[in-house]
Amino acid sequence: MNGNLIGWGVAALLTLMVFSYLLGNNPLYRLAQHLFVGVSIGYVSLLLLSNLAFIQVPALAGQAGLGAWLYGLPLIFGLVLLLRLVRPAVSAGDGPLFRMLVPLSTIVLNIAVSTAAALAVGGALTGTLVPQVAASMHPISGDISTLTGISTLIGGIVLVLGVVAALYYFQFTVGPSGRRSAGGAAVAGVGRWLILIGLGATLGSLSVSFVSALINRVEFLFTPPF
Amino acid sequence: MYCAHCGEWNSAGSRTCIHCGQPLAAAPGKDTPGGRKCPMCGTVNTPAADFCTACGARVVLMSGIDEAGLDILRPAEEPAVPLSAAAQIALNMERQRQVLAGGDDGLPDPTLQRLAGDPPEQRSRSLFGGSTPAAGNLSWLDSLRDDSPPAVAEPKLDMRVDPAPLMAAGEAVTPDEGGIPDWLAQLRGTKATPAADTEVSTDSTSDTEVVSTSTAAPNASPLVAADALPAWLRFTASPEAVVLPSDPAASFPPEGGAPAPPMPSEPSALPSWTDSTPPPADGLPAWMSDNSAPTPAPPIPAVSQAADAPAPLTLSAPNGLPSWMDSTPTADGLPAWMSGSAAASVPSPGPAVAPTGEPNGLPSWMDNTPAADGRPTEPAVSATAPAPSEPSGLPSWMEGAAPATASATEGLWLDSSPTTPPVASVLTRAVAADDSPGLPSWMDSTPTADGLPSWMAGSPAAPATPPPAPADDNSLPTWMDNTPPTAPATANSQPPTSTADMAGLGDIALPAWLQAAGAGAPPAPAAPTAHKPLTGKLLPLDEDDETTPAPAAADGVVPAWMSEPTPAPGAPNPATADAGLPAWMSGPAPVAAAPAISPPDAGLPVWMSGPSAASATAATPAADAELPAWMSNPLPVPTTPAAALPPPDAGLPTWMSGPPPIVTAADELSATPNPPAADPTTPPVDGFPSWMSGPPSDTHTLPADDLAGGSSPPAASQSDGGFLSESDLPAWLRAVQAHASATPVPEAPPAPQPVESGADELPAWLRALGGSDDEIDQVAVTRPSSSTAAGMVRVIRARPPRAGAVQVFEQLLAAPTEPTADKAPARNAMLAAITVERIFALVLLAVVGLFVGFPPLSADTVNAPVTTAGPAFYNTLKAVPPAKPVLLVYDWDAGRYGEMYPLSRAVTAAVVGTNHHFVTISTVPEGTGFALGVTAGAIAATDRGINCSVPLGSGAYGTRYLHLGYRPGSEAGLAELANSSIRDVQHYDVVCYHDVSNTPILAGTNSLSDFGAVVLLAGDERALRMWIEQVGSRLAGAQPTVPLLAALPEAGRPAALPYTGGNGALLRSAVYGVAGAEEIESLSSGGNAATNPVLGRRMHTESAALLTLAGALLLAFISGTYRWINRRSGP
Repeated sequence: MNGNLIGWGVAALLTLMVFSYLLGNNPLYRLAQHLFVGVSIGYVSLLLLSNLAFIQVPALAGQAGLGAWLYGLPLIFGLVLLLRLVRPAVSAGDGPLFRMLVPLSTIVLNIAVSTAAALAVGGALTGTLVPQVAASMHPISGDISTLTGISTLIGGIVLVLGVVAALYYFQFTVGPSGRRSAGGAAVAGVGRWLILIGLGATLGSLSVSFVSALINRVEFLFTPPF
Repeated sequence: MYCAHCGEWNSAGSRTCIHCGQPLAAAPGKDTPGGRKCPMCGTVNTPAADFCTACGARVVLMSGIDEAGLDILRPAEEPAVPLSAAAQIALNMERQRQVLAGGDDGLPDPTLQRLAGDPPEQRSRSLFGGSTPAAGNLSWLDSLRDDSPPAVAEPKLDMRVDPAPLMAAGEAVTPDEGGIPDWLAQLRGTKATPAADTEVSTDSTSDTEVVSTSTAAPNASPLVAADALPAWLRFTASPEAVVLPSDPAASFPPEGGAPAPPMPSEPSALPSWTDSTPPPADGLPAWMSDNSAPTPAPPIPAVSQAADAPAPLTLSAPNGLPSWMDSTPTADGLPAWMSGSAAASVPSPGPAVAPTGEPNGLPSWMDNTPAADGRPTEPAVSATAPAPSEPSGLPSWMEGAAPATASATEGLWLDSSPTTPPVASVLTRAVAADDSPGLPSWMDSTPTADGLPSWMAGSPAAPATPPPAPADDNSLPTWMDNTPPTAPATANSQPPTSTADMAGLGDIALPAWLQAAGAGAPPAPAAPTAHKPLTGKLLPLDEDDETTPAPAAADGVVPAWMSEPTPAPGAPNPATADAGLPAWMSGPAPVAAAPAISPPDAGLPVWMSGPSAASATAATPAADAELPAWMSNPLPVPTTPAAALPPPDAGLPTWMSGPPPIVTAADELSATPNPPAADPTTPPVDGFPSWMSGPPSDTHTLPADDLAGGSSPPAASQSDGGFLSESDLPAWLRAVQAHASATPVPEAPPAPQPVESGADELPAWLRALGGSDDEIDQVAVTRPSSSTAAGMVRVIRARPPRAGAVQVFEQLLAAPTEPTADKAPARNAMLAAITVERIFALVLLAVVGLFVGFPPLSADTVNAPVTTAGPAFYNTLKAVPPAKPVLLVYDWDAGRYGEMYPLSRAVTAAVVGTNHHFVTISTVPEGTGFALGVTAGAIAATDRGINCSVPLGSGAYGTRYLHLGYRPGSEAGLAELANSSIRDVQHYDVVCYHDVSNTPILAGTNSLSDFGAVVLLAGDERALRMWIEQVGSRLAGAQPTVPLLAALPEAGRPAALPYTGGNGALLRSAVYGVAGAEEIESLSSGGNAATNPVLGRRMHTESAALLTLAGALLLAFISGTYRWINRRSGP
C-alpha cells in the first residue's frame, strides 16, 4: 500500500475528527486535538535537540578561549534555568549548591526576560512607533489637477483626521460637568468608528484566512493520492 | 431617649425603638404638612429638612411627589397576594415583635422574638440559661432565679412531655406577689372565678363537684377562669376536647361488667390537677377523691382470699372522696381507706371487698379501667392504691406505716393528724395564707439559678436537703416507691412533694418523676408484657433493667408479679398473716431495699422524694420484679399510648391525648405499633380494652422506661414467654396472652403530627427548649393569618421605608418563585447541540465541499487579480542581483497552511524562476519543515542536489539553495541575526547538519545586508512585526538597501499595510493570500493568468464561501434589526 495513501488516510481521518467539533465537543475532536498538540511538542523538541543540542554543544567543544566562554556561559545559564523546573525557590532543606544555583537561575531568568523586553521595546520604537508616527505626519498636499493628486490629498486628510480622532477616543478625561464637549464627543465618536472599521477589516481578513484553511482541508479530502 | 411607645431607652440618634421598632419621634410621613421626600431613598423628612436624614440627598417638597410613588408607604389592609412562607416568617416575626411591644396577652414565641430583634435586656434567662420571652410575660420566672440555689447537674428537660409537670413548674412561683402573673394568681382560690370561656367550661358542673369535695381549702375556688390561664395552659382548646367523662362507667365495655373506675373527673377543660386548689382534707388530690358518690370503687386489684378475680367495687363518697379513699380519719391517723378500719362499712377497693370475681377472669381493677376509648382510666391510681382489706384495718403495705411508727415510717402526709392530713395542711397553709401568694408550698419552690424551680430542676443533687421523709418502705409499697404517677396523678400528687413547708428543710425535693427531666410525660399504664421502649435520650438506660430477670412464678393463684416471696427480715409484715394478699401488697420487702431513705424524708413517698431515694428504691430490680412493668416504672412518663389515643374529643383530658406526649411517644416508639392507633375501632376482645387486647409488649411500651434509667419492664417481658408465663397467669391474663400471641403485630401507626392543637398550647419557649428546631420553624411557618398580614402593613408604616426596598419586598411577595420548567430532554444529544452557529458552519462546509468536489465553475475562467503589490513584489525579486542570495523566511505554521503554502510555493517558485539563490530560515519551529516541503515542490527532484555525504556546495544544495533551519531566540535571535554574520549565528544546515561557514551560497554574506532581498513568509502579524522591528529597521539603513518583501495571509493585511508604501518604507511590498499567490504565479509565468487550475478552483471556492459568509452576516443583521425595531415599538 502506498505510504502516501496511508498518510492521506490518517490525515483525512484526523481532519474529519476535527470537523466533528461542528456537532459539539466530542471525544474524537479531543483525540485529534491531543494528537496535534502531542505531535507538535514532539516535533519541536526534536527540532530543538537537533538544531541546538546536537549542533551547538559539539561546536562548543571546538571553541577555545573567549569563544569557549561565549558558548559555554549561555549553556550554563540554560542549565541553570532548567533548575527552576525542579526548584523554583530555595527551601529550608536545600543544600549549599541549591542555595547558590537557585538564585542564579533567577538572575539568568531576569537577564533573558529583560533582554527580550529591551529588544522588543527597542524594535517597536524603531520599527513600528517611529515609522508609524512619521507616516502619519504626511503632508496634506497633492496635485489637485489630477485624480491621483486629489485622492492623495483626500487620503492625507482622512489619515490625519482619523489618527487624531482615534487617539482622541482614548481621551477619557472629562471636565467638571462630567461630560465631554460636543465637539470632543463627536471627534471621539469618529475615532471610535474608525477603530471599529479597522477591527472589522482585521476580522474580515481573518475570516478569509480561515475560509482558505477550510478550503484547503476540504480540498485535501477531495484529492486523495490515487 | 425614651420611646414614647414602649418606654424603652434608646441611644441618642436612634430613629426607631430597639424594642418595639416604633419611631422614637413622630416620623414625618406622607401626611406631614410640608414634608420633604428624598428623591433618592424615598424617606419623608421634616419640613425643615434640606437633606435627607437617611441618605443625605437633597429633599424636595411633598407637593412635588408623585402620590402614586408613596402608595407603597400607605399601609394596605390585606396583602395583595398570598404570602410565601418566607414572607410569613418575616411577618410573623414582626407580628411577634409587635405583640411583645403591645403587651399582648398571648405568650409570644421566643424564637420569633429573637429573630425580631428583641433587645437582650428584654429577655430573661430561660430555665436553662437560654432566652425566655420578655420579662413582661415571664417575669415571674425572673423572680425565681435570684434567690434560687444553684442548680446542680441540670438535666435537659424534655419539653415534649405532658405539660402537667411543666405547668406545675410554671405555677411554682416565688412568694413574691408581683412576680406572679395574673393567670397564675388567679389560680389561687381567692381569685378564682367561674369559667366563662366555653372552651374550658364544658363540664364545669362536674368540675365543681370535683373541687368542691376539697374541704381542706374552702377558699379555693373550684374553677379557674379560662381567661386567667394562658392559652398553653388551656389544654382543651376546644369544647370538643372534652375530658374524661364524669361517669366513666358509662363507657366501659359491656363485657367487663365491672363498674366504672374512679376516673378523675375532668368536667372542665382544665384538668383538676392544673388548678392549685388544695386537695381535700383527706390529703388526696381532687382527682383521687371521687366526686360521684355512687361511683364504683377504683380498679384496685381485687386480690381476695377467695379468688383472684376482682370484684366490682362501689364507693360511697360522703365527703366527696371515693369511698375507698374515704378520708375519714381513723385513730391511726390514716384515712379510713388506708387504715382499713372502715372496710366493713365502707366498701373498700381493696381486694377483700371485692366480692366476686369477674366472669372473664379480669380483676375488677383492670376490668374497670378501660374507658370507652379503650384506655385505662387511671389505672395507676387504681393499681397503686391497693387497699387490701386486712383484719387489722390496714393493708399490708401499710402495716409498716403503722401510726405507732409513723414518725419513722410514714410520710408526713400520712403522719399528720387525722383531721388535718399533712398534705392538706400544707396546702391549706400555702393557699389560705393571707400574706403569701397563696400558692401551695410545693409550688413555693425556690427557683434555681436558671430560673427553674428547684423541684423542677430535676437535678439529682437539687434536693440538697433530703426531701420530707416519706413513709418508710415499710409503710409504702414498692409501687409507691417507684411507680410514677400518671399525669393527673403526678399533678395531684405533687402536693405531698412540697418540701420546704412540709419538712421545713428549705429546699425543694424533686420527685423522682421530675428527676427524669423531661422525660417527663406522665406514665401510662402499660401492659405487663410491655417491652422496653426504644427511647431513652435523656436519661441513660439502666442496663440492669434490661437484664432484670423475670420474677419467679408466684404460687397459688396470684400471678408471679403479684407475689412477693421474700419479705424483708425483721420488717413488720402483717400481710403475711393474710394469705389472700399478694406479697407486694404486704410491702415489707422494700424495707431492706430502701435503707437510704433518711428519716426526715419519711413523710414523702419514695417517688415523691428526691432522686437519690427514688433511685435507691425504685430502681431496685428486686422491687421492680415484684410488680408489673407498668407499676415498676418509676417515672411519670407521659402516657405513651397517648399516641394511639383517640382524639381529645373522645372524652379524654388533654393531658392524656395532648400533643407533647404524643410527640414523645410517637417519636420514640415510631417502630412500635400502638394498639389504639393501630386499630382504634377494634372492639374489645375478651372484655379487655383494645390497648390490653392488642399486641402485647411493644404496643404499650413506655418510653419512660428508658428515660428513667431506673426500673424497666422485666426482662422476661421482652422474651417470648414473658414473665407472665402460662402457669402463672390467671384466667383473664391467659386470655390476654393468648389473644396477644394470636394477634399479629400491627404496623406502626403513622407518627402523629408534632404540631397540633395541643402542641400549640404549649408555650413556644417550652417547645423551644424541649422540641426540635423543626417544630419551631413549623410553628413559625404554619401560622399565617390575616392578622399577621395586617402586621406587615404596620411594619411598613412604622418604619419609614425606602422606596426601593419596599418595591423589592413587594416584588418578592408578588412574584413567587416560579418553578422552572425542566426542559424536555433532547432525544438526541447531537441534535440538541445544533445551534445557529453550527448550522451556518455546516452550510459553509457544504458550500466549500460543493465547490471543491464538484466545481460548478471552470478554473480557467478565473483571472489573476491585478494589483500594484503583486507586480511590485515580483519586480523586486526579479531585480535582486543574481550573486546575492534571497533570504526566504518561513515563519508560518500549520494554521496558515491553506494560504501560506500556495503563497510560499509561488514565491519560492518565483525566486527559482528568476534564477536566484535562496537560503531558508525560520523562527517558527514548524517553518523548517514547510521550507523543506515547499522547496521540494518548487525545485524539481533532479535539481535538488542534496547529498549529505559530500560537503555542502557539491551539488545544488549549498550552491543554489540552503536550509539553515530554525533560528531560536525570537527577538533576541533576530537581533543577533541582524547584527552578526549569519554564518556565526546559524552554523549548520538543517538537512545535512554540515557547517555552513564554507558553503558557497553564503560565501559573500556576512550579514543580512549582504542578501539581495529578504522575503518574509509570515503567517501572522507577530512574525511580521518582529521581523520588521528587529530586522527591517536595520535593513532600511543598509547600503545598498535590502528590500524586505512580505507574503502574508489575508489576516496579515491590516498589519502589513502600515509598513508598506514604496521604497522608503520598511516593507517594500507585500502580497496576501491565495490571490497574491495566484498573482505571483501569474507574473512568474510571464503574465499568463489562470495557469494554475488548483488556485483557480480555490479562488472560486473562496469566493463562494465568502459570499455565503456575507449572506449569513446579512441575515443576521436583518434579523437583529428586525428584533431591534420590534423591541422599540413594543410596550
